[in-house]
Amino acid sequence: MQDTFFLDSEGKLPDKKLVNNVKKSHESGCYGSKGWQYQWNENEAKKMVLRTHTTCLSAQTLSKINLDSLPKKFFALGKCFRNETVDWNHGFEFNQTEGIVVDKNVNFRHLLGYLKEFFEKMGFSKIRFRPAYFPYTEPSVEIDVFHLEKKQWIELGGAGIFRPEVVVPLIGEFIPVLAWGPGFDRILVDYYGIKDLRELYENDLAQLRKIKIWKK
Amino acid sequence: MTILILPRKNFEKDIEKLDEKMQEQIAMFGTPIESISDEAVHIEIFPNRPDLLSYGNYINALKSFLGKDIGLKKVNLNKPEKDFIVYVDKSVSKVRPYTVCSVVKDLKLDDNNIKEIIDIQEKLHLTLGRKRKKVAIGIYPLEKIKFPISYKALNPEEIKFRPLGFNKELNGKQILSQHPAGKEYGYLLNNFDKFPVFIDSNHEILSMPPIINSDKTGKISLDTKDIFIECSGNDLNTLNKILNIIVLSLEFMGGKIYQISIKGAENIITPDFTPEKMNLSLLNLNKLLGLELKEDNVKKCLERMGYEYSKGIVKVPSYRADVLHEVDLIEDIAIAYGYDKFIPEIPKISTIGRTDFKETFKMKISDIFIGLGMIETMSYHLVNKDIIKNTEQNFKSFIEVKDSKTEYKFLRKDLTSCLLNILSKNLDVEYPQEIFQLGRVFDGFIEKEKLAVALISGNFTRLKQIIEYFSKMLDINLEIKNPKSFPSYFIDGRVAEIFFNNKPIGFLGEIHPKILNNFRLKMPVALFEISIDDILNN
Repeated sequence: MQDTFFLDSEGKLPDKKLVNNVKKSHESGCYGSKGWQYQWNENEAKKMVLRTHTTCLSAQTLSKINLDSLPKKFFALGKCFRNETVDWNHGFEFNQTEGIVVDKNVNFRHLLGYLKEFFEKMGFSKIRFRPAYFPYTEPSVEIDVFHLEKKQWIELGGAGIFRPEVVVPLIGEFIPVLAWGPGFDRILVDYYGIKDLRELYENDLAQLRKIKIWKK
Repeated sequence: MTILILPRKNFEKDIEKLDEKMQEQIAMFGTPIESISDEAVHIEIFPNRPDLLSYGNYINALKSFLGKDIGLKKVNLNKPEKDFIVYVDKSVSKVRPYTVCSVVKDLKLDDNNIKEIIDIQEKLHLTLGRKRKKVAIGIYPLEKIKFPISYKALNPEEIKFRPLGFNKELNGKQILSQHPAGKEYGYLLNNFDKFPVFIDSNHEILSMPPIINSDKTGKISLDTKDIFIECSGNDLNTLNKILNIIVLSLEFMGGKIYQISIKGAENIITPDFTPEKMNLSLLNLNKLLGLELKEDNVKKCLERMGYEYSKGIVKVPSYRADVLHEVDLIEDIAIAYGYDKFIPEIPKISTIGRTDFKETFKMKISDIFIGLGMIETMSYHLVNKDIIKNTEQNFKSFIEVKDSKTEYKFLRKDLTSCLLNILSKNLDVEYPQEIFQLGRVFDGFIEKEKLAVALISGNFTRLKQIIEYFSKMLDINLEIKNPKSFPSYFIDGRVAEIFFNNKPIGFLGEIHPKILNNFRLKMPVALFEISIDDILNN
């Protein structure tokens, strides 16, 4: 939580039933899980923050999903925030793409299929998948793309299948949810031939006038 | 991010050559390489695998992954010697109820080993130990202490010893207020009447967990061969895992592990390496991964990840802290199978896609202004003091984020100040400049979607024409009326209020010269800002 922006205020939690399900899932588990075995603190959950991931959108969407209408797919593009110092490669704001596919018959190979397609469309022909860790997905995967100029693997984003401890409190049963959330500022920067992430927010009008023509 | 450093020489001696192929294997084991040099390779250990946080434990796990020494690790445990007893007194039950301990003998320590032991201890404190709250670890030279040992809680004034690095004796309270470790971790004891201590049969206080060891008995050196380890905390399960992780890394350094009898409300013998059992269904496994693995293949995969498998039951190593559910086993099987061997496939699921109405609407708005030859801009959602000062707004009306690492500390309340700031940064770029921005602002804790347009040099009439064109393109009716009141950055008499369905949604006008001056702008600026939500919601 070191890189989270906290605000000096308390938010509201969703309805009691959902909160209790989440609490139980964390403390003692559900659906055959042992849970994380700690005391889930309601006040901690109420703390107002600027979101660090768009994953919260997927959680909210799942909590409202109609299970009779599966399969369902959703995506979002969203701003995320991290309390970091700013340099050419880091900012305190960045963009994330969030996607979920909800269906009883989807699996890990399908997740890799979507990711491969997405990154190929983004112009990366050489990609690799490697094991990763995110607290809310299992299995988890990190996508590296091979940067032709830099001649090295670059980490572009994480994905996975939501853990039962995440899904069950939200929808009441375990259905595989393929989920991905790669940042795309680095893709943007590459596309526009920008060397420094800060330039995205610089609003240098001379540069923007040129970029617009060039883009077309 | 937790980094483990593997000296290249040792790695190549213990495993094999660290060539490109090996580097790929290391990444595919789930431990990405952060950097690599002639001396060492730095790898990242994910927070769910504290059991890999020492050189020895990592090497054992990687060896197994590569197919050597697979399966549940066999640990040579020696039964407790005659006096190897730790008595747990009832008095600790309120403050720090549990301890698990071990003795490790015949260590041959050098500077590197000692450094590594301290390093493992610190990393485990930080991660699994939750900054010593859940678990604190103490290590002592065996020759300096006399068994049996007692673990009990005493009044802080009764606790008197010389803490590590100090040359005078302090009492419990003084340690919390004077010793660096006391200052840092004192909050874990402050609210208790009695503080926990380990005392040996010579009545010597060995330590006051989770704060500090005694300087006399709690300092290992190059001459130390045998050591005593205690872990104390409030969660027996985590204590056992941490103790097992430590003694395993010491065993790799050549040590022999001895158990200790812990006597208290319950009598146990630690370390205890009994594996936990978990069910695994081949059906669930193949369904989640999209594979058709046979049982013998699954068994092999599990063994390479340090498990044991027989007839649907998996024995989970006692030091693994991250196996909560069958899916955790399934991921490890996928890692052993090889992420590079999965054949990606798009499932044959058809759904009908559409973009969110609000997003389509925003794209349409962008197109309208781009069509007018304007430039779309993008500003941070956080603003700095200068921007607030230049628009002459009150800091107190802004929401401030806590401990921002940059000068951007406040959630923006409008787009107007962001656009003025952009104009101010582009003084030397060819005029006229016509820019717009669509974005979210924060009215208290309510988020609003806004649109703002700024023209330099611009005037009221030109801006009004733009608004009329905009409303025509969207086929909506925007009314412009005389305002009752207006934001102070506009010039009185050159400002109007914009209404949609009789509801005020924003203002247009010319910016006051004094604000222009603050932003060092030398030409007139005409600007409007309206709420998009209000138009959308109708």
